[in-house]
Amino acid sequence: MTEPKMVTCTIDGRTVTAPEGTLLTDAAKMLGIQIPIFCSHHRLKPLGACRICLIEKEKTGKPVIACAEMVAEGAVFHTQSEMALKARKGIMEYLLVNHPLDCPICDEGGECDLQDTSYEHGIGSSRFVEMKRSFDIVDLGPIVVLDRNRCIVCARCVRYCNDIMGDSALTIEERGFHSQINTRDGGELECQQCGNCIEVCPVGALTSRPYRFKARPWDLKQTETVCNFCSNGCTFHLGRREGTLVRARAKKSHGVNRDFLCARGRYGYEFPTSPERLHFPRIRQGGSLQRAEWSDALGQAVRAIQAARSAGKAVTALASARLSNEDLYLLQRLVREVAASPHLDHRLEQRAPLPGPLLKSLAAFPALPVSAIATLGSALVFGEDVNEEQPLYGTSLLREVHYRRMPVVVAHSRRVRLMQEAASGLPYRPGSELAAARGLLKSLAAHQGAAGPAEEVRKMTAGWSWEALASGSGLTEAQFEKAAATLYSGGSRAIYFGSQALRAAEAPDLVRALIDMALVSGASLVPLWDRSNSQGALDMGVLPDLLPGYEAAPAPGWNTAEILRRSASGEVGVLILAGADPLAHFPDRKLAENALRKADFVLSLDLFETDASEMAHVSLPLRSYAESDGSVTNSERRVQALRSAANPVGESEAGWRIFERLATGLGSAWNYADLLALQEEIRARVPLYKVLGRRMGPAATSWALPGASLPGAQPVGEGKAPAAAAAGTLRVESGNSIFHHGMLSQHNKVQLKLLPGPTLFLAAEDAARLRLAEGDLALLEGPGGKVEARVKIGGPSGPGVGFYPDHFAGAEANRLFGPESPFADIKISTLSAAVHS
Amino acid sequence: MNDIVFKGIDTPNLRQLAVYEANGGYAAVRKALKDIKPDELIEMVKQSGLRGRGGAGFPTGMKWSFVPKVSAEPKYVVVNADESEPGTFKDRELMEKNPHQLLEGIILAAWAIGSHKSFIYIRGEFAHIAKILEAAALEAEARGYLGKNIFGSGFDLDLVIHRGAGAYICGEETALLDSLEGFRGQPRLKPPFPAVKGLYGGPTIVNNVETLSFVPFIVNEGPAAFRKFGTEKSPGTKIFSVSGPVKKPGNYELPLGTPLRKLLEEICGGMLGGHELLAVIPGGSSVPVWNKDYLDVPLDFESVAAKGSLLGSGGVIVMSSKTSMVAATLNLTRFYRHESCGKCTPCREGTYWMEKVLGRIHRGLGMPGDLELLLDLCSTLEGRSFCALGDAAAMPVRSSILMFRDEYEARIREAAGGKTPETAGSR
Ligand SMILES: Cc1cc2nc3c(=O)[nH]c(=O)nc-3n(C[C@H](O)[C@H](O)[C@H](O)COP(=O)(O)O)c2cc1C
Ligand code: SF4
Ligand code: SF4
Ligand code: SF4
Ligand code: FES
Repeated sequence: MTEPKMVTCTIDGRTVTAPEGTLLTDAAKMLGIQIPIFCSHHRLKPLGACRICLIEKEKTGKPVIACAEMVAEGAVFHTQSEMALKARKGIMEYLLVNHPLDCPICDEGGECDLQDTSYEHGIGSSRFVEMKRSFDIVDLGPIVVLDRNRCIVCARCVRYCNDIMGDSALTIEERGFHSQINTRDGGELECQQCGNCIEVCPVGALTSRPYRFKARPWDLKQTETVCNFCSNGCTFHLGRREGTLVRARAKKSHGVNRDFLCARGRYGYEFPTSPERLHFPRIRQGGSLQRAEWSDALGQAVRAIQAARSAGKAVTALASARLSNEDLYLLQRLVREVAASPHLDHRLEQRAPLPGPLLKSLAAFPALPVSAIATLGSALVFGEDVNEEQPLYGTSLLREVHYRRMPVVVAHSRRVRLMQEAASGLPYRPGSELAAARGLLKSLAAHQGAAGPAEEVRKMTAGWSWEALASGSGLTEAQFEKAAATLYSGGSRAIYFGSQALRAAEAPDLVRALIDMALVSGASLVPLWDRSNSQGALDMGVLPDLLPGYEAAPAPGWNTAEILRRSASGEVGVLILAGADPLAHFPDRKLAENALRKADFVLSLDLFETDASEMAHVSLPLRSYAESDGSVTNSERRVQALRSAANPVGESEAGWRIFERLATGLGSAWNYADLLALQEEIRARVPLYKVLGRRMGPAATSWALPGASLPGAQPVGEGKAPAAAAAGTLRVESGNSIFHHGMLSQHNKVQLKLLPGPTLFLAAEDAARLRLAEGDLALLEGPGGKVEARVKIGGPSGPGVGFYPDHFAGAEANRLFGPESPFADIKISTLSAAVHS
Repeated sequence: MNDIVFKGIDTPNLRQLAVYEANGGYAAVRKALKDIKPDELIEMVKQSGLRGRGGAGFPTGMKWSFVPKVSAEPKYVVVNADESEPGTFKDRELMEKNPHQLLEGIILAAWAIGSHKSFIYIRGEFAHIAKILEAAALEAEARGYLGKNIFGSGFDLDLVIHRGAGAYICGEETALLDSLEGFRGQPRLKPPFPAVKGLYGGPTIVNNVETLSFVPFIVNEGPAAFRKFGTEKSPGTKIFSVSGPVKKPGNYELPLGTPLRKLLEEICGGMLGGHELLAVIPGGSSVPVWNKDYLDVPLDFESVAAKGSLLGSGGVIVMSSKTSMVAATLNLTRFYRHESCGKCTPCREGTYWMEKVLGRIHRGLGMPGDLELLLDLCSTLEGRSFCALGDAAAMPVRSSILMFRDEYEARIREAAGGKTPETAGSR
């Protein structure tokens, strides 16, 4: 990339040098000068509508808007001159013409841009003496409440919804002073319910139903911390009033998300202070778990580990990838060093977990911040419904597609949102990810020069026949060619992949193909892992074959499937479930049940009662992220601080403290004065994590693998082509929906309003074919068993493929799908038709 | 009078292609496609000094030259036929009576910038004129004068006639483009200007009907012939639409620089009986009003601006002593309040507020200080709104208070009648 030209201009008598194209509002910020804004927003293109940012530009004769004016060599601007102040004061007075004076009862009061600006510009009242217009307050669905009286028609909400989220659920109707906000059809909002419209509204016109009148900002104790759901690692302020978390808000957050949050981040704050949390340790007595003292519970666990070791039976652990780096680091030390066992893993959903060397190859690619999307030339998103599962990445990509037609290729088995707007789509047949990846690799290699990995890859792919790739994937050579041309049409490129690729039965070969694609095209390679700290779990070596920092384990242990298989056959003495519930997440539910039944001793650490915790011998209450200090690492490999925002529930304990006490019980001399002492050790022992600190957001650093160079070309195996869908069935896939994440969010009431229970998403044409209507209760029968689900049309489905989100106890995806593949052919019958009024 | 675009305007059946052609029509296109390179055509228009007749008076040749020669996106010619400015009704007559002259202008513009798709965005209420244009376009296409391979030159041009839905703001060129694309008609931020990034993101020229209607003459007769009329900086002729209590209101094509007095007294025959001239708005409703002291101002862009108003669209609105300036200004303000698109704060709220204040003055409920308030509202609107509609809304108010302050003050004094300012204010 060429260096941008620098331009020097003067603002309020001080000079500032900024890249050409910098907006005046940003240039002023560089000098610490705040120019008020209402309609402009850092994610949106300048609009220039509200005019509150008027400033003086010498030799122009009339004020200019700082939000759209760009720095110009030698230009002289004044933000506080008489002209500027008079102009802004006039605009403020206009804005208050129809604005009610209800700050005292407004949720935004105290955090309102209009209020702040009006103080600043000394406007207390208006010379307008006529009646103000007035509107009723309306609910736009379960989340958003609209008070048009307060609206200043800045259009931020409309543009954010349309340009950034891609939903177009809001609109301005009428014109002139009648202009008002409404939903597209006047009914409820049909959207992702992300609430970003509320966040960007500079006044209290859009407020949040769940938070409405719960607190005033100054009653809240607010703590900035990191969202615990997906791997994007957004930060937000959790607001606590007395003992309860009442909101999450990203306005003025310092995170990589700036002010963006998805629905689950914004409304997922309830579970930590839910009354259903586990409060006390419990010990199995006479068939049921009974409240116990910590010392007794830990004592039993210590004795069980000792017994296993003396009996020569394995001590094993499965961890949740939502735990902090500190928890995960000490867990692996406990298992490896104290229990002298190599058997641990954190990957429960993956059928073919990636082997250590492959993970190390991925780690050798440099990290790419999510903010880089703004300047990428082109992108490929493979096997990831990025808008549904990784929303910050999803919206960031969508914005570039909207604003500058960034060439994007989307490869997925379903017609996902980004594919609908992308320059090129590769809608492969479910289960044929590998064939699709091989086809694309072949096309990409054909475009490149003769040297290096491209040459090797071309030799490898030369023998692959287009007929086989086409019939395997359901795509044509022309589609692959178009996708390759699209990816090559941009300068700097990146390849993203995620859950569908990672959960595939052929994931390792698929990832090898993706590595080759990146090598051949010179693209960055970015895995988008499932959970908030999946990256940390890899880095901390909660893996059977890698130690912390991607060092090969001397003697590889068992992965999740192997641990469960061995346990089922009686070889496991102790199974530690650190926030992990294999019954809910492991694809083979029967095997998981057997494993828990046959292990000599199951130790469960969790937030809530789960199917697994209730089968344990000892159950310990774990602190949630909201009550924890520590760190988590997002998909950018940014090691961000977690800060505790709520008081611990009952006698719950931090994971690392529990592991420390187990280790001392087993005779180790561990003694961490506090979290900082533990972090000190991690920094010293894992060179990668020298970046570990107390920062979050862009201030926190991404790690880089010391001394790493890009891997060589990878041999890519040939997959099996998936069989055609069985007659009378619909092929269905599973994953995370935008409204939930894993199983935790079922403890959040707001999220349950958005998606209340087991749901089958269907494309309209499939629903019509199967004679199903929105809201019908359907019986789904698959290789794993039967579940009942409500039918919803649209969403992340089809065509020809249904989607069954995996979030609800009693109806987990593994009760429906078989262990072999992440999709299955499901027989669907109507149990009861929806009642339509 | 009626030397160029209105020449032979009343020829029977001029709308028909055969009649138009018999009167020399389509000669310019024939000639240009064969003998004039696009760059040369742009140069001719530049030399003619033709300036936009839609209101802003921007040099047309210069506008065309801003269109990039090569563009990845298609280029477009868009005709602004939204004519909604109160007091302006010239494009209407041009299209009603001589549609082929406009079509010829469009083809020439498209040839000049290398466009193959053109649009006429016509005011919704002009439904019958849209039909006339459609009929003319069909006839031209059937003859091979429009569509594929025009006059066998290999040059293609499609024309779409699109009716607006009744918003004055859609005459503003960028709002027009948004409306044409199917969005809310609201102006766009400039830059980028339409010539670089306009319709569907492609380079686009937007020209007024009258502007394009001049182009065939310039091609046929040459720039110098055009410059024989008008002044150095405002060459050529212009249609003036005269309305109000004059003896012969209507459209007149006159050389730019014709004095207002000549237009009103000679050409329009002076005021109707019983009416005495009180005020004139020289350029459509969006420009400052004059009192009767300005009759000797030559009507060209420079001279009118030098005397504090603007030539605008050439809609000359005449008001007599029987007109209340307060009522007339309220009427105009109501128009702008109604037509404000609502995008920007000062225009959305300012027009609303100004109407309220003018309304109470008009109803005899004015308050002391109202004129200062109005002038203040004008200054927080002028030069601060997103597009020129905001300025347009302020100009009549400010100028009528300046020129006719006595009438306003009398109204307010009547209202206060005996009351103190305090009690008058607290209703
Ligand atoms: C509020 C507003 C309304 C306008 N309405 C018209 C109109 O009805 N017809 C027109 O030709 N130009 C109108 N204009 C001017 C156009 O924006 C533009 O300047 C013109 O179409 C350019 O064509 P020209 O260069 O041929 O004059 C309007 C401008 C504004 C600000
Ligand atoms: S609701 Fe809020 S964000 Fe939307 S237009 Fe009104 S003030 Fe702006
Ligand atoms: S779930 Fe992911 S995208 Fe949503 S707020 Fe949390 S971290 Fe951000
Ligand atoms: S000045 Fe503002 S509100 Fe008025 S028409 Fe223009 S953009 Fe719309
Ligand atoms: S912030 Fe600049 S115009 Fe609204």
